[in-house]
Amino acid sequence: MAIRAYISRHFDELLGKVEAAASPHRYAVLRRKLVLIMVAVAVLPLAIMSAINFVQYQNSLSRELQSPMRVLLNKTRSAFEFFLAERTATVSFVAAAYSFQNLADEHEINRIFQVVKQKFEGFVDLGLIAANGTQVSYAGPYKLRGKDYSEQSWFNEVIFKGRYVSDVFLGFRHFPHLVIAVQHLTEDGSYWVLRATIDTRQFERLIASAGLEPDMDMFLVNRSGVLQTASQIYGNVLQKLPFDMPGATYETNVRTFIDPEGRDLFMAYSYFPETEYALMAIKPRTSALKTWYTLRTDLVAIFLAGVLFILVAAYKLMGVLIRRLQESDERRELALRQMEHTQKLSSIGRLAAGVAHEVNNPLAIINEKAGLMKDLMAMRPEFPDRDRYTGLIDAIIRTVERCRGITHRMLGFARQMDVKIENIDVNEVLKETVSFLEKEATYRNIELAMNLGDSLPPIASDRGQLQQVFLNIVNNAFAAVADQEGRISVTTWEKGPDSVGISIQDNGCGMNDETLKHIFEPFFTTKKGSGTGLGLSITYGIVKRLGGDLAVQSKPGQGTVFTIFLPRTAPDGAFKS
Amino acid sequence: MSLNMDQWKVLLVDDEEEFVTTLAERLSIRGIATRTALDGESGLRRLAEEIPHVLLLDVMMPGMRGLDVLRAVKRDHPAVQVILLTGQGSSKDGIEGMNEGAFDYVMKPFDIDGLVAKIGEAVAKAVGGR
Amino acid sequence: MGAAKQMGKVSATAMHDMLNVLAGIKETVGLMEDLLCRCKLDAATLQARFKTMVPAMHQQVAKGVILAESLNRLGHVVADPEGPVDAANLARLLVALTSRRARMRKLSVHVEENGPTCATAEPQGLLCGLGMVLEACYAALPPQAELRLKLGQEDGVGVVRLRCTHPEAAAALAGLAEACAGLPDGVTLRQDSRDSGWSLGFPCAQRT
Repeated sequence: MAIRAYISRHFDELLGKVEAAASPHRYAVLRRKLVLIMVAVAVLPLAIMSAINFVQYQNSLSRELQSPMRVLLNKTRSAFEFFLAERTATVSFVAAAYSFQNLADEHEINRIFQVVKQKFEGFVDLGLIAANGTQVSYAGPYKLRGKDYSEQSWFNEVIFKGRYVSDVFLGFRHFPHLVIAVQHLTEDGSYWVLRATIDTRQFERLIASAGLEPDMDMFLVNRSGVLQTASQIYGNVLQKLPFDMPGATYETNVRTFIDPEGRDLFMAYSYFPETEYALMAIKPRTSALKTWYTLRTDLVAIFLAGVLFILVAAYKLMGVLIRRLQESDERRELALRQMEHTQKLSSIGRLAAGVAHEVNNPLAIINEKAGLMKDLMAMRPEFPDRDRYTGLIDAIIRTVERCRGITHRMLGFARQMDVKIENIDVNEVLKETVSFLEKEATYRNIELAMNLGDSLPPIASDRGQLQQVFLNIVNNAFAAVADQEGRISVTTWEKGPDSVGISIQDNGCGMNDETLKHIFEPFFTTKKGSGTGLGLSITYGIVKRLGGDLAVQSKPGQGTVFTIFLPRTAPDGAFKS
Repeated sequence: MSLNMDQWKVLLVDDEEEFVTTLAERLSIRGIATRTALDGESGLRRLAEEIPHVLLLDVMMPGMRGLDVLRAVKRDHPAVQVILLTGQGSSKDGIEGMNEGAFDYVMKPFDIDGLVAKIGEAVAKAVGGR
Repeated sequence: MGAAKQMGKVSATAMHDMLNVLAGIKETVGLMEDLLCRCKLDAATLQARFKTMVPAMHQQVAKGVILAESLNRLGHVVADPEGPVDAANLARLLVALTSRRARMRKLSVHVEENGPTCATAEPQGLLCGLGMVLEACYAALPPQAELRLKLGQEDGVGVVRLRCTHPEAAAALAGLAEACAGLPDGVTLRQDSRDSGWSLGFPCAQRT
């Protein structure tokens, strides 16, 4: 309801009201408002659709970009896990296949170590550690025999868990390696630990053979974020990542990530379930999303182009529509004016014909009198009857007087066909108008009462149009009243300092409320058959244009009163012809 | 000094011949010496021949317009009083004529006694003003 | 507006003429009264005078009657046009009603019919157009000129040819088109190349 009221407020005045003077400004305003609405209505769904598309595409594109990363990471993680599993299995096998005694033997452990080293890439050393933590035997490049590991946490862990895979570390050996240790339980409940060191170069090789894209960086880290392999971006082995590790997950996760240096990245990561490792792959978003950015620019460009197109189309379309509306309004205005002119022409024509008719009668009388004079002269050769002649002459003179009055009146009226503003005495115009109908009043025995106010102020207006208005209404009154008992009264008064009131009352047949509602509408008439129904609508139009007001009251069977108010000075536009 | 009616001199200028001769005769019957002319130019000539007290002048004439005659008379013979014969008193010509110095105007058709009275006033002014 | 204005002008001219007619009658009859009452004339002289004055009155009355009837008919045509109006009649009415203006300029105007004439369904338009053209001609033509209006039709269009044989007429009427700006719809004015006259065209009513 509020919306409707709002819309009404904004558009009624521009679209609906006939009386509002049509200024070019009004059409420009209307055009602007309609264009805004049209553009809003068209652009809104477009924007929503575009936004949805944008988001959806971005998401799916993200996912698409993430897929290969995920796959790659999975693949590589599997390779790592396999590698570690294989090495762990090898150590377990050795621990299971050989007895403590075998392995305690230096010679034997070396031999085994050589085989293992030969068959499996990456073994650096192999060592047997007794339950008390002492290294019993050792095969490898370093002198570790006799070393005590009992206090070290890894030893305790391997005792506890049965197997151990370490992080990469730099021992005093100064190169990154990791340790795999396996506990072997004997049948009698004792145990010993077999420990192997693995060269992490294998790791590098695993990553290198992963088939990374050139801008992708993949590296192994431990759960504390310490690099286990070298990262192109974040540094060498055993350096800590500059950011916190994401939450542990054994499925590969890909997400977007901005590192502390502001790089916008895709990060794929996966923790190894069995060990402390996590595999991470980093890819800069910008390069991945290059296509997306191009597409996005295209989308935005298309959206803007679309909006622009809508705007231009709306503006042009509205321009056409508004122009049509304006033309239609102008045509209607022209048609109304033409009807007015036709009515004016009709009325002057009727007046002229009436006047001419009126004048004809006295002329005929003069004719007869003159004829009679002639006859008298012919009949009597002498000239006796001066009285007769003077009588006839008087009659002729009186008749000429009558013609004179009629003719002067017509002359005065005919001169007013030009539109011009002058100071007008309303009473005088009314008297003049009524005088044209005096004959009819006498003939039909209708009483005409003129109650014209004294000292009525003059108004600046056009005589011809005023006369048109008065004629219309008084004619209507004449049409409404019955012969013999008809009574029409015309009253004028000063209504305030700025306007003059005129009322024309008749005791005719009156009108009911239903008729009263439509009385000023064009083409409305109660006269069956005759009349265009335009008279009062034109009259109303003229009065409004002159800046005045026209109102009517009526009761069926009692009569009608037309009340006109006219301003002392008329508004602009009142006097266009 | 007031003149007798038979001393009044009137010149009547109007293009309707029959009207002119009839009115002139009527004025003569009343003892007013009236000469006539049927258009502006001959009217001015006749006026110059013998200067009248009053000029009865029709405003609507072919050829030289009544108002132009009025101006010429007021210019050359300002003592002559001009009474305009017009169809409508409130018309443009009537008002303009009064502005140009006409003594008065009468509307056609008129009452001759009224005209004679007006002529008398005009003669008085013409004579008094000399 | 043009037609109403034209109608006003035409009516005004006719009424002016009428006033002169009435003045003429009044003076004539006044003189009769003077002769009867003021002058000591014998019966024979009186009779001789009256014998010429009464017919003069008849003539004046006849002039007035023509004016009144013409205005009456024109008024009816304009107020309640019922069906097409014969253009030649309309032209004659117009000329009769504006004859005073022509006389003022010492012009004579004649209306002729050149073959079958046309009826117009838009008498207001023809009235307005022909009225404007006549007014302009009256203002422009030199004294003593004779203006001929020849009514006819060509290719279903009604035509009023305006011809004037006066040697200065062609030059005088050169600006006729400008003087008649704002002719009503359907009414056209153009110069004829052949005889430097002018033609006013107006729509012919369909023959029923």
